[in-house]
Amino acid sequence: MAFRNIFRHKWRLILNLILLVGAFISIVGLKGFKNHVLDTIQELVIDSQYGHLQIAKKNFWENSAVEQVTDKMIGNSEELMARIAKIEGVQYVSPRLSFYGLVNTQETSISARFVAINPEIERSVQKSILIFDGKEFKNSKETLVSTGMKSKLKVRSHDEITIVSPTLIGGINAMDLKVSGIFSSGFAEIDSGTAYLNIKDAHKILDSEFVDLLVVRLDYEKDIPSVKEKISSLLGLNDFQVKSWVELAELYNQVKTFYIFQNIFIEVIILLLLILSVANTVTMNVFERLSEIGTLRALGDYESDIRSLFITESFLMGILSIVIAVPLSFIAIHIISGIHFQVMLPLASQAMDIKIIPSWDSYLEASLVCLLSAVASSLWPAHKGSKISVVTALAAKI
Amino acid sequence: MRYNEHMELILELKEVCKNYGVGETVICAVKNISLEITKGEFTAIAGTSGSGKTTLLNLIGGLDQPTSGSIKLNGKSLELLTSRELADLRRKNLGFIFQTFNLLPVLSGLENVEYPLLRLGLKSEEIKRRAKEAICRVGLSAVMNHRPNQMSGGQRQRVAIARAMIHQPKIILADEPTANLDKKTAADIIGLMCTLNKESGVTFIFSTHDPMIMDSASRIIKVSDGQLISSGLDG
Repeated sequence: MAFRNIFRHKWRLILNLILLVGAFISIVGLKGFKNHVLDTIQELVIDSQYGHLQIAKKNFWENSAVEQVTDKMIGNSEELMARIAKIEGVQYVSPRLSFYGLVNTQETSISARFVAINPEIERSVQKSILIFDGKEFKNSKETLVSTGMKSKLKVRSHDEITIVSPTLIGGINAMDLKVSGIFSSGFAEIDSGTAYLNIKDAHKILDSEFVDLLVVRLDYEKDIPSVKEKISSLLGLNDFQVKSWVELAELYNQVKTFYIFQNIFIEVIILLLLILSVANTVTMNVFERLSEIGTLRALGDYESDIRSLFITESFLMGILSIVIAVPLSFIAIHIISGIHFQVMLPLASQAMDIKIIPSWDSYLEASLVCLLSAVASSLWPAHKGSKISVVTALAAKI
Repeated sequence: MRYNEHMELILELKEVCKNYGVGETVICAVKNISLEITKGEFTAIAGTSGSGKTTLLNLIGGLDQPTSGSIKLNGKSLELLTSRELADLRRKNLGFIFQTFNLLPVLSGLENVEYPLLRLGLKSEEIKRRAKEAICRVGLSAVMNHRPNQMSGGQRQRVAIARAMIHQPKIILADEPTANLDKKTAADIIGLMCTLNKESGVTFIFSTHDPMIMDSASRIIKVSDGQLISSGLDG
């Protein structure tokens, strides 16, 4: 009877279904967009910054005071890399070294951060960044400069720049490098003033073989905990520490937290709006059916039977909305993703296509919101309907 | 005439009053009515519109509570029962027929008749069998699967009678069951009720203001302004 009752007022049902289905698609879309943003940022930070794991000396990330700067750096990197590379699941291990210095052209001089990598091993770094002008650097004496540096120095690919930096033992060193390309990483903090160069050149400039850290790239992200454990036991935790990209990517975690709270906030608003809207029509249903309620009570139905009837009707309407919303949401996602509408992502310096990556948890969450709002909106009207005296209900002439 | 010891008393009203408050005004819908009805009676409660017939039926059916006095139905004092116990009593012992038929619009005639049995814990085959029997008994086998809006007034009231009978109640209460019907159909409906009363022995109490309908009753209780004018046992 409850199932048949939901079809009694077709236009009212259609209105409620539009609300519920709309809310369902909105939630799946919002969560799917969040998934896309976080997946994109995750790929970016793994490829261009952190790898899957990073290994450094014990006090490297803590900024604690040391006697010599090299106390925070890894000296025997080649040997360590060879040992770590043998661990199952490790795709490659690569050294990283970063330092600050001056960059000079004939006209200008600015300070900059230099990130030294091994371009032959860490190809993903250059693959993950967008090179506007020129190409990736492969050889010694080449550098890739960010868009921020390009505009400050007014350089183009094939131009020459000079790097000046103090060495690790206190002297000053300089080196001429050819700009192989101009890049944008997607991260404003990197794009404002960073240059990539070959780690061999960095060693020459700093007059040292030390590296800051080792970046470990794995075959599969799921292996992070097990490989981290193996590396930790291999190196011992007295001198070294191993951190996963999630532990290092503070901005990623902030963005993720922001999106989670934003989604919860929007879902709560959607839930409240749905409850108010659907409750309005459920209330109309109840008060139009007072005579029927009176009849059911006269036939021996309990107050709880009346409550159950209206709550079941709303529950079934919620189920119906989910059945309709699931295929419609697939169509909507397909259309939205096909539009190639571009948006600026948080932390990014370049626009990206809006895509929606639906997930099972987003469908589950949207279904729960629809069911919860449908049922919650019927509670008060159902309670009121069940509490009306039988005689009053029977006398109703609506 | 007084009841003798062989007659089974099924309903007893003692000094029943029902007052309604409208603002500061108190309206006495039923004033100090005492009545006794035995099993198998075919009783009409007669009176003009507003005389208190419907209120009296509502009180007898446990749909409303008296302001004072007591009502004993099948030995149980209604005023002592909770809302849930009253519902149980209606479910098992009472059948209702309404002036406006009050069928459930989303159910077919047969399903409407089945409804009172659904709460009694019977098997679905038993429910179906009994409902079909009941609907055939009221002559509606041809339209049993029609919805109420596809039936005439007379057919709807026959479905309502079958629904009131299906669970073999002790008493069937009918509030002006013929008021919305033409004369011929009204006579048919009263005839059907009378036949069922004789065949099954179920007690019928119905309200009416139609003299023709009153004539078919074995006893006529007259009320006016909420007061009992005649209990039908006086002569």
